[in-house]
This record gives sequence, C-alpha cells and structure tokens, in this order.
Amino acid sequence: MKTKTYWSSLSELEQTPEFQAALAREFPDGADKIDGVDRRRFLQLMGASTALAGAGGCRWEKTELLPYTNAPENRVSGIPVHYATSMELSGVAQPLVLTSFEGRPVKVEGNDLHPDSGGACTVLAQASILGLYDPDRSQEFLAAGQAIGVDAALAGLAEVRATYAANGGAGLSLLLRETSSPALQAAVASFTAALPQAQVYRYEPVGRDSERAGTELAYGRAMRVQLRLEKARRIASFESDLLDGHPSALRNTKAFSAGRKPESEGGMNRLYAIESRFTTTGASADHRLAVRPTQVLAVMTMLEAALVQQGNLTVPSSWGQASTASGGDLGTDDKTTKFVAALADDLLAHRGTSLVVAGPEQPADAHALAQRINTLLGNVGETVLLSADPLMALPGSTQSLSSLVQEMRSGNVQTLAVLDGNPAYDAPRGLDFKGALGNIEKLLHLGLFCDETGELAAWHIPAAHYLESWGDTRAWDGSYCVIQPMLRPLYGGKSVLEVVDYLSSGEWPDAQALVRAAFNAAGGGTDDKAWQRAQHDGFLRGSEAAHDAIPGRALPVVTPDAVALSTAMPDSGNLELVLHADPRLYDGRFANNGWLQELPDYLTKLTWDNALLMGPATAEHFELTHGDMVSIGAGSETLDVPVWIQPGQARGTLSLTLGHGRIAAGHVGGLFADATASTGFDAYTLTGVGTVGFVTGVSMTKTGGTFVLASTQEHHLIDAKGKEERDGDPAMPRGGVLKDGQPFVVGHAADHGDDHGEGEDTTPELEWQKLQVVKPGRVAELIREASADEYAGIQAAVAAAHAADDHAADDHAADDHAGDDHAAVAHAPAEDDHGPGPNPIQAVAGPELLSLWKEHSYDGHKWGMAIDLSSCTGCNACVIACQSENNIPVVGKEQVLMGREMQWLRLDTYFVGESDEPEVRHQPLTCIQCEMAPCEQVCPVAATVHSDEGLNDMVYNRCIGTRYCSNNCPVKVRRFNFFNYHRELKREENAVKTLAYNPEVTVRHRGVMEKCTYCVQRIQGAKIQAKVEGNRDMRDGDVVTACQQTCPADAIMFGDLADPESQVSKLHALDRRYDLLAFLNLKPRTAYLARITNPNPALRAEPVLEAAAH
Amino acid sequence: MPSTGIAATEATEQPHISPPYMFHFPSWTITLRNLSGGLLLIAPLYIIGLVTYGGSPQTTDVGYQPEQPVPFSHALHAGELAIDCRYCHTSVEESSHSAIPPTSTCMNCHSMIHTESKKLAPVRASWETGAPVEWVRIHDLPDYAYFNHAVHVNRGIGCASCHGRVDKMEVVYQDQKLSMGWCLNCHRAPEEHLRPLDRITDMDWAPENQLELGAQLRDELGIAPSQNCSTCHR
Repeated sequence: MKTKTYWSSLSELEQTPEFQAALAREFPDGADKIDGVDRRRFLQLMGASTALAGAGGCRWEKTELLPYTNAPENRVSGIPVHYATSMELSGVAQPLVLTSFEGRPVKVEGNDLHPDSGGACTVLAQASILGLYDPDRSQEFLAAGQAIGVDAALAGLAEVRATYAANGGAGLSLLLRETSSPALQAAVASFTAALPQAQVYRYEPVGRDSERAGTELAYGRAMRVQLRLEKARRIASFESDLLDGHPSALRNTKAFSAGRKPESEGGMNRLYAIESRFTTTGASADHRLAVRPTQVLAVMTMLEAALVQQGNLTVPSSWGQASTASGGDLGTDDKTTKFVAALADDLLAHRGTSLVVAGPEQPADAHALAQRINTLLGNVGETVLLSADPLMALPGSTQSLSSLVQEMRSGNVQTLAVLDGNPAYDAPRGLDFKGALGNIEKLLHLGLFCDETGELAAWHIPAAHYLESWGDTRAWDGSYCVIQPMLRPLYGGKSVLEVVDYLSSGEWPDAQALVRAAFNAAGGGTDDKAWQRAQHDGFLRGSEAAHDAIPGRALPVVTPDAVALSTAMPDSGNLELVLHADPRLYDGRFANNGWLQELPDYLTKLTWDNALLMGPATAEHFELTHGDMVSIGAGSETLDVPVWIQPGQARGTLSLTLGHGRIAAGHVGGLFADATASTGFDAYTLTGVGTVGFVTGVSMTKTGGTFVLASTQEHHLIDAKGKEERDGDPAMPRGGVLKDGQPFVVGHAADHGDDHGEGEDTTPELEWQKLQVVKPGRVAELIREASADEYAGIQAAVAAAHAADDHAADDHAADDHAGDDHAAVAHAPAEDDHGPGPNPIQAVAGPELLSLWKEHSYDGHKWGMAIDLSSCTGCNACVIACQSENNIPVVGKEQVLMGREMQWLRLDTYFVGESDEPEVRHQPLTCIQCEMAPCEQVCPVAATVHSDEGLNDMVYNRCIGTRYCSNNCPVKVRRFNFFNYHRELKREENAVKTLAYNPEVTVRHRGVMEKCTYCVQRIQGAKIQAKVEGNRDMRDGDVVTACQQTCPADAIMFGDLADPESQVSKLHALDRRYDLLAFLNLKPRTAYLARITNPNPALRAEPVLEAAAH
Repeated sequence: MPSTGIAATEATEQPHISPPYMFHFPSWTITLRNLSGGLLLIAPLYIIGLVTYGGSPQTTDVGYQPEQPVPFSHALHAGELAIDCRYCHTSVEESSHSAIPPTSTCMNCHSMIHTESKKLAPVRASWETGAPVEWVRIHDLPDYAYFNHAVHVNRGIGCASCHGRVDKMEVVYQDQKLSMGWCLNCHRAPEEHLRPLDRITDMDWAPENQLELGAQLRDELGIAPSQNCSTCHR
C-alpha cells in the first residue's frame, strides 16, 4: 500500500546528487577545512602554538575585585534580580521580565503575570538584549555626520526649540512611530498645545493598518479585535499571522496549542488555513488551501454565501447584503468548492465557538468581511471581542506619511524631526520620501543607530534603548504596561518621550515623573503602592480595555469573478507578490542583530538573507531553481533577488519579506560606509504607496545570475546512512523480519535462546538463514503521528491489552499471544500474526534490544524532557532562548554554509505529501540525553560523561576536539567550535557585547565540542537553592529550562522522571509518547509526544497513521 | 697517497691537512658520553617532575599574597576583635559569591575610629569619590569552574576549611590549593571537614575526633556531595 513520504527539502524529494552526497557526510563539505587550511597543516600550526603556550604565565593574570562603595538595598552580589518591563513594537506592548546580574540585564523572558505573554516571549523581544549591547549603536551626537558633543548638540536643539516656540511651531513637523504610550500621547498633546502650528505625523512600515481600516469599515471606528482562541473549536485563518507575527501571537498560540493536545478538556480544535504563502498558522493547520492573495477574499465571500445557504442564516440588516456567489457560479475548481462547503458545515456546527480571521496582508475588505462572518456565526462577543484602539487618533501610517511627504514637497516643512524611525529606508518607495527631503531645511533624527535616515540628517541624536528609558505602553488587550529602565543609557541617549516633552516645554523632563502622571491618569491613581505594584507586575492589573458591542455597517459588495479565481498559471506580468514583515528582522530595525540574522527561518531555514519564495510549479513553469537570480518588476520598480522554492506556496504567487538589504544598519546587517555588504534584498524597493500587502501584475525574468543562500534545512541530516536506510523497505517502513517475503513474528526468531514463545511459529535453526531483517525507515521513527480518531482507537486498544495482560497474569495462564502483544509494546516487532501491536506509535522494530554495556542506575533525580509535536508551531522562540541563555555564538553566513551554525536547539522541518500542497511537521531537536549514549563511548578523553542524574555532561576543559562524539551521535545535535567565535569581543569597541553573556555558563573556546546541557546551570541553581533552604525536597517546576520557559505553545516540559507525580513523568506515560530511533536502544531522556491532528472527515484524503498501519 | 696530491692541487686554497693525523677523543669523554646518555634518560623524568611540581597549584597558588591597596589586617579584625566573617562578607550564606564589603561597611566604624589614619586614606577617598577600593583578587578559580559559597556554608563546611586561619593573617594569602583534585578529595570524603552548622565561621574550632563527628554530621545533614562533572562545570 501507499506509504506516507516525509521529506525535508525538494532536493531530497527528488534525490539530487548534492543531497545524496550530503547524506554521506557527517558535516557538509569543507566543514573539516579551516578556510582552506587542511587538517595536516592545522596540526602543524597547532603543534607550534602548543610549544609557544608553554612559555605563558603560570598564574592567572592579576585581577581586581571592585566592591560597591555603598551597596544598594536588596541586591545580593551573585544573585540575579528580575524586573518587569515592556517592549513596544508597532504600538503594542510585549510584557517582559528581565534577568539582571549586578545591574546588567542579560536575558529577556516573557512576563508570566500578563495574559498576553503568560511567560512566553517572541524571538524579537528576546533578541533585543543583543541590540542593547550592539557596538554599532549610535554613541555620539552628530551634526552633519560629525560628532559635536552633548553640550553643543543640546544647545543647538535649544536654538531650534526657541525658534519654533516663537512662531508657534509653523514649519516644524514631528514623525513618530505608532505608539499606544499614554505618557507619549500626553506629551504630544502638550506639544501641539504649546506649538499649535506644528504638525505631528506617524509612520509604521509593518503596522496593522488594513485591520484598523477593516474594523472602521465594519463598525465606523478603528477597533482592536481580541481573539479568544481558548473558546474557538473551529478556526478559519485567511492568510492570518495568528500564531506568529500578530501582536498577541503568544496569547493566541498558548490558547490554540492547549486545544491541540488530545488530553485537553473539551476536545481538540481544528484549524483551516486559506493562504498564498506558508504562514506559521498554515503550517499548523489541519487543512490548508493554497490560493493566490487576490483570491483569499473571494474564498471568503464564497464561505459567507455557503454559510448563509447551508445554515439558512440571515445577515443582520445593518450589515448590508450578504455575499451570494457560490463556488459553482464563480467557476472555481472542485477542490475549492469542496473545501469551502466542508468548512462552512464545520463552522455552522460550532456557532459561537468558531473564529474567522484575516491577516495584515489582506485588504480592509477582508477584515470587515471576517467581522460580518463572525457576527453571522454568533462569534462576536464569544471568540471575538472588540475593544477601543489605543493608538493616536491620526490617519493610518501610510496615509499619514504621504500627507507629510506632500507637505514637504509643497515647502510647508522647514524642520522635520524623525523621532525613532527610519523612513529613508522603510517608507514606501513610491512616495519618494528621500527626494522630498530636498525640500526641507533641516532633518533631525533620533535613533538607536545612525541609519539610512540618520546619515541624511543634519542632526542625529542617539536614542535610549527601551531597556534604558522610562516609558509606558499598552498591550494588545489594552492593559497599561510600564517600561522601566534596567540601566542608565550606555551612550547618553534620549528617549522619544524626553525629546517630545523637551520640544514642548523647553526643559529636559524627568521621564519617570511623566510616566507616573500618565499612570495616575490611566487609572492607577495617586497611591504610591499601586505604582510600585504596577512596576513590580509590569502592568496595571484590571486596566485592559472594555469590550464593546457595536452594530455593524453595510459593507461594500465584493463580487469576485471567474477570471479572478482561475487556477491557471499566470504569465510573467500577472504574478502576485506578497510583501510581509520578516519574522526575524521585522521591518528591518533588527537587521543588525546577529542572533536574528542567523536564526533559520521557520520554514525555509534560510539564514542571513531573504529570498523570493515560489511554489515548485511556478518555479518549474519559469524554469527556475534555488538561488537563481530573477528580476521582478512591480509598477515601475524592479528588484533582482534570488529564488527559493517553497513547497506549499500557491501557484503563480511570490512572496518576499521586508527588512533586508539595509545599507546603513551596522557591521552585521550591512554598512556600505564601512564596506560591509547588506544581508538579503531590499523589498521596500517594490513598494508603491503601501508596504505590507500584496502587489499584482508582477513580472519576473531570469537574469542568468545565481546567488548562494545559506539554508540549514539539509544540515545535520540525521540519516547519514543513506536513503534506503532512511525510508526503510516500502513494505515495512517500521522494520521487522521477513521470511519468504512475508512479515514474520520476530519475538520468536530473535529471542536469543529464551525459551518463551514455543509454538507453531518457532523456526528450526536451519531456517534462520531464510529470515531477512528489515531495518526500520528512520523518518518513520522520527516523526510519529495519528489523527484524533486513530489515537482514540489506539488508546482503547492499549487499555484492552493491559486489561488482557492483567487478566492473564491473574489466571496464571500464560497465553502466548497476550505475551507477544505485550512484548510488541515494549521492544519488539511492529506486527505479528494478529496485525500491528496495540500501539503503533510506540512500535519499535527489530529484535529485543540488549545493552552493550552495563546500564547506569539512578538513585536520585532523573532529569527528563517531553516535547509535544502536537503543540509546536515552529515559532523559533526556543532557539533564541537557548542562544541567549547559553552564550551561543553567531558564526556568520560563510560558516553557516559550511554547516557550522552553533545553535544547540534546532527545529527540524519535514514536509509530508505532494510538493505543491504539502503539510508541515516541526520537530524541535536538541540533545536527547541518552541513557545509553553513543557519544560517551567514543570520547578518548572522557570529556563527555554520564552523570548520576542521567545527563550527558559535556566537560569543556577536557575536550580536545576529536569530534568522535559528534560522529557517533545519531541525532546530530553536537556543535563544534571550529574557531574562537568570541575572539572579536577582545577588540575594545566590541567589549560591550560581553555584557550580554550569561555569567552562569562557560564561554567556550575554539576546538571544543558543545551541546544542549538541559540548562544544567538552572538545574544546579535550583538544587543549590533547595539545599540552602534547609535541604528541602525539590518540587516539580523548580527547574525550568530556557526553551521550556519561553515556549508559547507549552510544547516542552522538563522535570524529574524519578517523581511519578511530576508533569514530565505523566507526559512520558502517555500512549502517544515515543522515543527517537528507539531501535538503537538509546533510552533517551527526551521523549516525544506524537503529533495528533484533527482532520475533518469530509476532507480527509487518507489515514494519518497510514505509514504504520500496513 | 696519490689521491691526496690530486686533491691538494685541485683545492689550492685549502690549508694542508696532514693525512696520517686523526683526532682521538680523550678517554674521559667516554664517561661523559655514558653520563649524558643517563641524563637523556633522566631528562623526561626531570621535565615531568618540573611541570608536575612547578606547575601545580601547590607551587603556583598556595601562599599567593599580593599587596592590597589598604593594609587591612584580618588578624586584627577577625582575630583580635573577633568580628564575625559575615559582618563584612554578607552574601556568603545566600549567594555563590562571598561579597567583598562595600566601603560603607568600613565606614560604619571608621567614621569614628582612626578617622585620620594614613592607612585608611584609600578607604576615605573611596567614600568621598564613590570610586571603589581596588582589592586584588586572591582566590581565583578558572572561568569554567563554578563554586558556590552558599551551598557549602549552609551544609557544614567552615570558612577555615578552604581559606585557612584568616584570623591569623596580617595580609591574606591563599592557604589551600583550590585545585580540582583538592575539591574532589572533600567531595569524596566530606566527613574530614564537616562541622556543626553553628561553627561555620568559628576559626578556632577543632573537634576531638573529626572523622567520628564528621560521619555523624554527614548522616544527620544528609550530605551526599556530587562528583558529577556538571556539578561544577557548566
């Protein structure tokens, strides 16, 4: 029968020679060469340096201990302090908790008190700590590019202020980012009161303008749509960024993922995604329909029509006329019609507990229609809540910016103050903001970096980082969040709040007092205790926005036609291009952040660059392959960009992220002034008058050039032994024993002389040679899944088998078959005469496993982890958390190309199904801490050894860098320091970067192997804490690893397996728990929980568990 | 010999070497040769010995007694005046670090006592300017070793076990090796050093029978020191 095919990349699916070669190697080509220096030469050099090393000193260099002169209260040297604060991104707060050692913040985590975080944190906020210590940050006050010193700069600013104070501000314009900060809004209000002639504009390149416009269309005013996914049993996502990118993505993910666990009360939810590019949401969906971006709205109208028709519903009169066009009328293909009909049925069965949501790239119409459909389904007030929008009451970003440009062109702006923002780079190119700068007298720029805008500015003022300044902001739910400084500005920077207040009052303010005043006005009151409480919590409790019920308004009628819905491959000139925020660099402001640049994208696994994504069919049509340069044209603009083929991208659509191609970002993201090339390609080039969204009528021509893209998708292939072993025998993907080509009961054949299993099946010794052992296919071993129905069946079968076992034991009647079934669960064969064992998820192929050496015994703690593939959305938060916690270096694109990336935790992504419409399986993989660890057996110097708590300890000071351990690691999770990647920090200008190090973790040197330690520093810290607290017993939850702490999906659980009541023990006992490569007898401490999907029976093409159910 | 004649004509510039003469090493060089053979045998042993003892922490670290910016006498303060260790090193019971006291701790007394002392000038300067006193670090572990004071002093290891009789030191020096082997010795046999929890900072304390008391304390307190690598190396 047909077997489900898993593949990690198209070259694997097609078995290209490059892939075959990559399979055969431990590290990619060149990984054992040192920039052209081969191993022999390296050893010569090493010998020489060893000889020299002997001449070094014998004692550590003399170091000083510098105590406080007057110690601050409540701060104990060596014990970190945690502070709550917030980061504002596009006017929305991300509630955070900072870990600070001796006044030095080192790690960003989510604020578990705030429901918009729940302890989880996005990659951007986590990586912002590296931005704080970025040596490329602007450090000087500049006048025409020359450092002028603080005093001169402030005197100049005073002059400007005096000029405009005299004339009421005529000719002065401010350009701000979007902000929900009550303090800043108050400062802006007093600014406009003091200088009534001055103008204030705002611009945010990747805001949520279309959603605001959509709610305005539907309700008459801009509203925030609060999603309550914990109540939503059926979710339809129309190209939405629900689970990654949405301002409340963490809260959404937490609620969504809880409903993905089959153990959850209330059953599993079901997610449908209708989208052109593969979003994180689409990758997590049970069903996904790939359509072009222009067709998304059309499918939505079809859905509304189907709901009205199938459910006999009526749209409330105020909402206008419902859509009527059905799939048949529109001439769509059967697949779309069937999809919409099934979706409509499912949504109708869940009125009030379903949810329809559109994404930021979709136009206002789609957002408005989503609201009407939610009303139709009775979801508004249940899963969809509306609250007031706390942003400044100004027109939308692009509208505001274009009116500014218009004013600039007409000569009404003399001085423009860009207060944090980089419009010279990220303004829609069609507006020609840079050109309009020629019409003004003076550009004043406040920014963290002297970026593209700063370079053009007459004056540049270094901005204070959000971790250096007082401020406030509002979370997506509207709650008042405090921003409190973790340290003084490193370079004397000023915050936007301070500058705006200065411009209005003429005096540098006490920012804390401004925030306090805003806090009081925002409902905090004048009680100091409430203020202290808010600082402690990071937000004001009970301050979230009230939920309104507003009648809808008649929406413009959208009538898609058959032509628009065509699924034919469009020609060049009719392609559709989606421009969206980069999940790593956002709008480009994080371009100089090495962690984010080197973070493999959640699907393409691209690092350091962006690329033009297109589906395999589109690439084939245009005869393109990975890395081919194409010239794409949108409007009058063209851009040369490399191609990356992304399975699942809709036919005839392209997508490209904004935020790359910076020319004045810094030494990481690109700095032309210092001959540092940009990363990626500047998609803003293609923007006309808006940024995020889609562009139609795009042309694409092959230029003939190629570009090298660094994707980690085919790195660390677990299956270096080749394709055959990887996929196993098609007849028996889980392995087993064949006799005369027929599956054979292995328990009998391979019992090594044990005397059980006497019966008809017993094979005389002479027959043994007829047996053929089929090794299991490894991917079938790595990813295991089942549908919710199938899993329920498995659970019942397992329960029945246990009952039968108990019964048999009670009767002392050793029934052979019952015994065999039991063996099948524990360690043996996939199948016998009775069909598959009761639990195919846990089935292990091959004979009974014997240990080659004496197994360890564990008397104390047994640390273990469980990773739930059902919940994981592949958001990458864990990877950055690990990087930040464990001082993991950034290696650069060249090193990544050689397979030397250092992240201890990686997210393996597999695709399932056809290359045009695959499904995605994410698997977070890091050291699984085998009890029978192959790495430990081959280390010649005992640098990786077993602890009595079950950890594979890595002892850096013993390691001599043979890399045998990595060679022998079946899951390829070990990382080798080919260079001293921290060497650059010895240069004086980079010294500030060392402040980001976690002092609890060793910084590794060249030539040393490293890997996940289960955050052993956190384990030791918790153990020591328990001992100091009177040698109390450790409690479940005392040790939380960095990846577990930040996971918004709660997919990672850590704890003590010796405690049967611990949460991780309970997860390990689930029927869907399985071990990686169990046939190798690794006995890993990290167990995986099989991915349970919840497909709609009406749309299900084939059983999920097919691979195992032969 | 004919050949010599030819050579001489060809190499006219070279000095003439008398053909029958051959140099004989004197016989005593044979003894020297035998001796030097012996030396070659001994040399590796010598070098190993040199590295082992010359490079051991016993040689390089024990007794390290750098000059401090302030001639602070532990013998006076901890010994004669019997000020408890924790009066200054406040964080020792809760933190990994045993903090060096802030200048304000010195000034608690020295704003009233010896206010004009020359020796205390750097302390007063620090107090006035806010700049820290730059003490020289004595006990220094490698960066890849993580020692935690709190877990030791809360579990029956006294200050003196690692730092020696600080109460008798005019100028503090390193008393113990602080090498990995030295750490492990105690982790393997903690009873040799365990003391009652109320005697941790007592410099003078000495039991009648350490091993007996230690074994008893080990049972009572449930001391089971870990010898895992990751206990100290993270």
